[in-house]
Amino acid sequence: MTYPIDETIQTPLPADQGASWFKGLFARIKGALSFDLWLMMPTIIVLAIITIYPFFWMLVMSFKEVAMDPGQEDIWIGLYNYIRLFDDESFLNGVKLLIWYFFLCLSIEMFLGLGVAILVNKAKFENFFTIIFIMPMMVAPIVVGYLFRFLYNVSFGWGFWFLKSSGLIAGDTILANAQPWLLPFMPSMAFMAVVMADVWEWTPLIMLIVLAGLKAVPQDQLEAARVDGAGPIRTFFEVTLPNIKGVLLIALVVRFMDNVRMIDLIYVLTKGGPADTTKILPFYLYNVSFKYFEFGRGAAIGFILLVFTIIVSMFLVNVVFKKKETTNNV
Amino acid sequence: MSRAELVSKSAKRERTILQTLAYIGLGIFFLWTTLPLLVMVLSSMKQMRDAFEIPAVGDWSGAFMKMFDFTPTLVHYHDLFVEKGFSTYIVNSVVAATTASVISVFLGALAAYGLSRGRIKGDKHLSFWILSSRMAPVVAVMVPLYAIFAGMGLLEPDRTRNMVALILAYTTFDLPFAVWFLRTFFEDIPLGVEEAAKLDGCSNLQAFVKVVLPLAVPGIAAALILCLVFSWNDYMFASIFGQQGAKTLPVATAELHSTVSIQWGRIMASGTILITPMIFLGVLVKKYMVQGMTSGAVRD
Repeated sequence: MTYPIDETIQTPLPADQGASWFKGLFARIKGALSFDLWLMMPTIIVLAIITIYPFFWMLVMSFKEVAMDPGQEDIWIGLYNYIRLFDDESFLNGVKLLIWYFFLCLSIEMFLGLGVAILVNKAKFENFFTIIFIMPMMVAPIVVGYLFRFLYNVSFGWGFWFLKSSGLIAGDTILANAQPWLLPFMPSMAFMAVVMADVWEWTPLIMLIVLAGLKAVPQDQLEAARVDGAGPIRTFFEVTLPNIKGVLLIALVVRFMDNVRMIDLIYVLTKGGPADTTKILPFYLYNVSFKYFEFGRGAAIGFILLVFTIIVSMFLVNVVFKKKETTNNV
Repeated sequence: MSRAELVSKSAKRERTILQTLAYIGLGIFFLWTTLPLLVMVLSSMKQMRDAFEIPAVGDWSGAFMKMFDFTPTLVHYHDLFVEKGFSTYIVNSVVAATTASVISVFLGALAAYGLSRGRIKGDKHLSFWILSSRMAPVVAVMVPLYAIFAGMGLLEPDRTRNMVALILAYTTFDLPFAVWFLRTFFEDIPLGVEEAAKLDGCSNLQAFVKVVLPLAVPGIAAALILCLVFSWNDYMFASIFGQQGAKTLPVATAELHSTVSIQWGRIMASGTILITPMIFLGVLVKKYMVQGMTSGAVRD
């Protein structure tokens, strides 16, 4: 009776010949994992070192009060780092602002991106427009920050001049004094200023993603709608939109993940100010860790943030990549 | 005239109106995208007194003159290279970004191929874990990495050590990206191709290197370029890990902004230097941009 075992493992080991003993050992090691896993090994090892180790490091650190001075011992304080977050107004403020940030960035970018994608899809110089529109995506976030800070400047900013001239802001600074009717839609004008910089850089991404989706809408369905005499608007809602739902969801996930990840923009633009109005949670975390050097508390916040992102993304990615098989054979 | 013709006529009119509106909309978005960049490039070539000139509130017609009426100067660029030693920072940026990208794409291609063939048990979990390492907030990862690197002595003020720290840090986001991006490329290469090679007597490795890899070259090039863009644009990691010995271009740019003053002319010049090569690269891989930015979830 034979078993389906890899031939290399079955090679007998002649114990008295050194060279072939090594050969046999080599074959055993090689046979221990499949070829595919061997190819993956380096990546798995590297990622384990730079992700799993930090993950547990963070978890352990979050139970400690980390000593500030050399020579002092860290103190084990259990869950205190987590418990005290509930009394931490900056933390709660950060959570609130992070939710606002998601809401404003994602809704504006999705809406604009979808609109522009539809326009570009039908336009004559499609290639030209796409090339122009992807430029902001390539700009380093820190440069976007400085650029917008320059544009928003009260005494020499072109953006400020534009907003003032078109009547969108009433006062003498961009940071306060939004027109009263704008106020229910945003936490503050400064916050909106950050959001607009993010919108400038990332709307093109949504546009590109949606554009790819639009190209995949089946021509025969569009043709059928046209033969039935449906105008462009009806065609959009009844044929196009159901076809690009999956792609829109992907766009949402991608932006969601990057919105929590990056704080370069806020770091340059407002540093969380004025008066904490733009201190979203990841930026507060930056302050706790690298300004106050409270690594224990920082680890607790970081851990919460990480778990939150992973859970939400896991959910979204599952939805997305299941969808991919059925709807999105782009 | 039949009813159907009437309907199609009104649909036709609707189409013309919408088309006009479409071009107006595109024009507005075109301006919104390009004007900030134009302001940056122009301001980098203006004397400060020219750069700080804006028209009076509501003076729409004067805007054009104020924007374009100036004598161009390269003084800010000159300052950056002569006074601030920017050539060193550019070299740092290029070396760190290139090395990290090459390492990431090399390892990533191997792993992506391994994942793409679907012969590994639990490959779904494995690939989600790989992706999740890219979802972690940069700041949250930074503290533990700081501790690790400090333990390895990589944070001493020394160029080589800092460079190694930077390259490792960039790998944390480049490597997962490369795996996910390249996986879809390998999935598109039919299994039959390599099986034929194996029938001809190639080993697994030979089939991969000689047959599959050449077919994936466009994807590998695109992955390399996108990794390059991500690493080149990074500020947060570079500001913490490379600050002392291996200052990169974004960090040097941020340093032009001190507590005392913001040197706008130089910042705009440095910004222009930062973005020009990246925009060029972006146009080069335009075809793969969607696939890249969505980690392969959407294919063009």
